Amino acid sequence: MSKRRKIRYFRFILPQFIGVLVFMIIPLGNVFRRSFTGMGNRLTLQNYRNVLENKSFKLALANNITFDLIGIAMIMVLSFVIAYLIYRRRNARLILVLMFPMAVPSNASAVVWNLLFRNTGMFKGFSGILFITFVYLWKYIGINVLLWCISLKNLSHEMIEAAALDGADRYDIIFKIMLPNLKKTAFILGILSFVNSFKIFREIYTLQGSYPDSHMYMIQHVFNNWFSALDISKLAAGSVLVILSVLMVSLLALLLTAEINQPVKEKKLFKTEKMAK
Amino acid sequence: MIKELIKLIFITPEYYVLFWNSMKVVFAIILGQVCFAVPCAWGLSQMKNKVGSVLFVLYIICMILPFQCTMLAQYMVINELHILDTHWSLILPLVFSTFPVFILYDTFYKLEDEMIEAARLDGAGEFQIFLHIGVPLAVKSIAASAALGFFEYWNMVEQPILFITTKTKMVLSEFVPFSNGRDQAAVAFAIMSIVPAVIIVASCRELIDYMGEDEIEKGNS
Repeated sequence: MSKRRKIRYFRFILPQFIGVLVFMIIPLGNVFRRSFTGMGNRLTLQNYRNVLENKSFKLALANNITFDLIGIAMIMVLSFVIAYLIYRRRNARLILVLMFPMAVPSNASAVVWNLLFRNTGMFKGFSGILFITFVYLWKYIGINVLLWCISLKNLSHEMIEAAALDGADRYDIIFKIMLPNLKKTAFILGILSFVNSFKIFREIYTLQGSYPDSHMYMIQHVFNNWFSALDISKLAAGSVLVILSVLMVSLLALLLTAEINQPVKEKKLFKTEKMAK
Repeated sequence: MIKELIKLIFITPEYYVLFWNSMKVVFAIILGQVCFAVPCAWGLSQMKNKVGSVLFVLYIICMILPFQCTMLAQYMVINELHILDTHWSLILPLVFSTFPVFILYDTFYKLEDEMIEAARLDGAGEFQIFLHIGVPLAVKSIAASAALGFFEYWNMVEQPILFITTKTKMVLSEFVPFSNGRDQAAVAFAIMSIVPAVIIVASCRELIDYMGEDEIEKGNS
């Protein structure tokens, strides 16, 4: 039965899976192989050495890390605060307003940024990391707020009310009950924010082209420039390095958020409350 | 201002071509995703065994990789298939994106097994179950993933600047609107490229209301 069941469902999966194999998994394997091949098909680590010693790669990596640390921390905290306020005030229309920037094409919003932030604009001098963090928050906070709101409303209501009856104040409820039960959401949002943070390239590219201000020079720029220079072996090694770091960050986030088993805790709290009554 | 808008829509041929290129590419991607990702998510979620969860983890990994690490891989396939500098080079890799599978998996996974088992006992074939039970129950999630896909692909910049070189095949989102320094024309362009986004957001208002307001109130009452 189980085997037949497996085969039955493979028919649904197969068409898409072949596509994923052809466009993603097989070529990624190919890239991995290439990253270790040097002159005359010999196995070598020279490509990695070239990448790690490359000045523009180092600059871009430093920029990416600074931006990720500031941007992700800010978007997680701010979106939770907004979501909490929406949850308390029950004003879900605001989510729609916050979601809107995500739908605006980068080059359309870049027109506005250009008017505001260029040398003759209102906010000149406001550039570099601060500027891209601002654009990133503006653009991606909506989806984070939406997902926080969905999880907040799915929290057990009895639990929060019970805590309030026991005399827990607003901050106790947020830090000791809501947040520990929202670890899974925090994990998904952390990964999502990390993935979205790479897309800030679009605004920078539309505003400043392939060689922007040195504070906004991102890994995507380096890779694009290597690509135009047909520097395939460097690009392959660089891709593998970025893939590894993305996987490591995800694993770290998973470890940070995985240890609490939420349904069990919820039930226990509820039960003791009932018994006390 | 209005003069500039009219000029942009009716007189600038560039804008017209780019707009329809974008429309064509985006709708082709979303159509392809619906055809391939929906059955795939169904199959993965119904397997409910180790193979299914291992495949799903693989899909999540594919989903979180940013474009910069997959660009070389994608370029090599596109080059192999001789579709470089055609719209297929934008459409095909994204049709097989694993993002919609991720969104739909959860919806399908939560369906009650009893219902599916009952349909099976009544003699419904696997495909009938999928089409008459799975799809109708997931319409909202499918719409949500299509809307998110629209935002994403209407915005794509990284792929077209690498894979498309012919000017007439460019898409709207890679167009740099302020090269000549004329502000009014740039603003007119910005307004026009927001229009489809506004339409999509307005049409998924119901969806967000459903996810946000109603259920928050339900939870609070």
